[in-house]
Amino acid sequence: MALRLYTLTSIFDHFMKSFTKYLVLLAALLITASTFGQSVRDLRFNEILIKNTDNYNDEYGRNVPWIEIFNTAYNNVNIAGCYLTDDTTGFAAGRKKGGKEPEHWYRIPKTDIHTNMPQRTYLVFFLDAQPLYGTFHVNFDPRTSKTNYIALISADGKDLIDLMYYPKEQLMDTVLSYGLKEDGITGEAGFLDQFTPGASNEILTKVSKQERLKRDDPYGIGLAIISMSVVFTALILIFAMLKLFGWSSRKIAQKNAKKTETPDMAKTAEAQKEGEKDIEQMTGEEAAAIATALHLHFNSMHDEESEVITINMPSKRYSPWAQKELTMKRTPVIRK
Amino acid sequence: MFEFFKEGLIQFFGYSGFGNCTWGHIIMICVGLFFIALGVIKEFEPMLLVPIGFGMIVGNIPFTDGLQIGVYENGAVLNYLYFGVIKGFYPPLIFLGIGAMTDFSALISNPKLILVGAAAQFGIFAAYAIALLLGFTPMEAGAIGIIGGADGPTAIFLSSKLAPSLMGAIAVSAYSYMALVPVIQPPIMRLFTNEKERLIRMRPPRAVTHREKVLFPLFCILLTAFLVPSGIPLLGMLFFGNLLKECGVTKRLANTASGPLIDIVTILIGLTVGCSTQATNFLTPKSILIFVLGAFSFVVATATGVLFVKFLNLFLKEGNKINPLIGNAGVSAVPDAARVSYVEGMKYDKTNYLLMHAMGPNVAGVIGSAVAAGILLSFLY
Repeated sequence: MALRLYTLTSIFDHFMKSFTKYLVLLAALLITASTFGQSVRDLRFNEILIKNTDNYNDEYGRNVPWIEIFNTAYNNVNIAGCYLTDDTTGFAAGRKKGGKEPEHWYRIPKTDIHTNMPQRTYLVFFLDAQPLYGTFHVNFDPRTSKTNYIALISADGKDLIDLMYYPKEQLMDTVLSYGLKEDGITGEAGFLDQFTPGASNEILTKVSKQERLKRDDPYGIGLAIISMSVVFTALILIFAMLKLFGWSSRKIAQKNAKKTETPDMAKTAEAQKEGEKDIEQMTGEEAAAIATALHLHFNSMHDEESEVITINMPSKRYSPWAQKELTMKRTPVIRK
Repeated sequence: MFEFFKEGLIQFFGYSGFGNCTWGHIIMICVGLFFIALGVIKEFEPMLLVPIGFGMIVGNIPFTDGLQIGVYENGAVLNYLYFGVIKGFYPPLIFLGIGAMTDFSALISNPKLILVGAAAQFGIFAAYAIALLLGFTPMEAGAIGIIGGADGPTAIFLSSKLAPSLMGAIAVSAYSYMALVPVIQPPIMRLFTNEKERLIRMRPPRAVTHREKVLFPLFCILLTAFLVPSGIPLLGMLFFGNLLKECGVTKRLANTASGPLIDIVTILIGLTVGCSTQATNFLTPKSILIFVLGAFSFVVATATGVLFVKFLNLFLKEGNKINPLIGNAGVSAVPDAARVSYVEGMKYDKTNYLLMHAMGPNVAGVIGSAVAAGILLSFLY
């Protein structure tokens, strides 16, 4: 029986050790995931224009289709090394086949400093199938593409960061840009009222917090009421917590007292309670008098000493370096 | 040859402080000297007023632009030191030190005092409303209002985010009023209390266990930061510092936070805030308005603290009542505001020691002003 119990205990111990390991591993994985979460995963396709007649020019003065990417994060994100494509066929099987990149996969060069996107900024790529024209010219063209989407894929070719479907036929026929109504919010997409390459899609619609406050709360009364309510709520929560603290510590103290209590001690406790009541009613002068008496009493108990002398050898030998007398100027003596 | 020397001397004079001096510089240098005098002679917040006063002198010595000397010039040494103020990372470090120094026992033992700390924050929002009426933008009004929180680091933190151009005036105003707590608060306290109320004796606080002290910062950060996440830099550091102090196993860290670290940051923040009051940027009608609004905010905060205690007393039984003289301590300014309560209490009853009781609302004021700053940040930034 004892052996069985021992075995069970050892299994439990073993399980706990393994469990701790797995817990640490899980935490590490979560941390890794969250770190990745603050990188290229925050990039979103924001706006696309295919029929570019007299709109945004590239650096050669040409009007070609373009797509805008938005960094939704509040930190710098480097898009270099990622892939832009209009054909994700074979994506699940991995990007390389026989050491070659798939045909319509454009790898963003790592040597251009402009691929590093500061927080909440935009980057425009020209979709002109002319990768030799520069970093921001991809190797496919939506006008000749068989698909109606564009995908952004991570540098290892395994993670799909973002995918934007667009109404190809309409965009081919009319000079209209298509994108997210709110920057980076993938929920609502549609045709946009104006072209905003390299800028926010909400130029006309967005009202700043300040403007809204000025309009809705010109005298600050609303803000004052809300803010004071929040301050009170926060501190009332702490108040409730402290009340709970007090209540629980009293309960614990009572429990501990009961555990150690004997009949004689109960009497002593009662006497102590009486004493505490007396102390509460005591004036400051009385307390001071009692404290002085106790101090004198305990200080007078020094007549018998232990008569034990401890002699410690100094840890360092004498050194004239630290001797103050030698570092001082001597008073001059008049020789007669 | 003579012409060369003459031109050289004239050129040198043009580079010197005398050549560039204006009345504004002289006024600001005099203000700096006054601050130092207040700190040294009157001992009003000397740890702050001496560095700020000296910083005012350093920042207002006239010079020729472009030599990378001034606090506002890129590449200047003072500009690098000022970086901690602009980016707002000095204030959280100061809060870390404050947390490591503060004993929250008074608050834990008498939790209702925390509500006084909340009421005293009303000054912030009253000043915000008045600043809006005077034509300040909502962001500027928020930064000005926080002066009423009577917490220098919080004022710097918030103004660095909301109104960096007004930060010098706001910081100097906040620290000046904090230093003048013993002058500003007593008349307001006397105005709103009667003789009988000033004599109220409060129950002695109960003993607080180690467990309670350790749990306090942990629960507080969870409760407050979940409610106002924008206050995390200040609240997080405040409660972290307190945990270091109270947990008992990180004495070295607590000693560093409450000693050398806070001293270093106080020196840097004081000096650079002082330097930032260059006459050309500081002596404007807006600065004067900020000083007036700061005073108003401070007065309202003190009054609401005292009046709220009187209001609470309506619901408290005899024997549990709170002395309204500790209401003023709800405006942060640790520990000066609590000391004012104690001194005022002693004037009316030599055996009524209010210091420990006043520390409750005083530290609650620190939490309250950090929460208020977080709210303003989330609404206005």
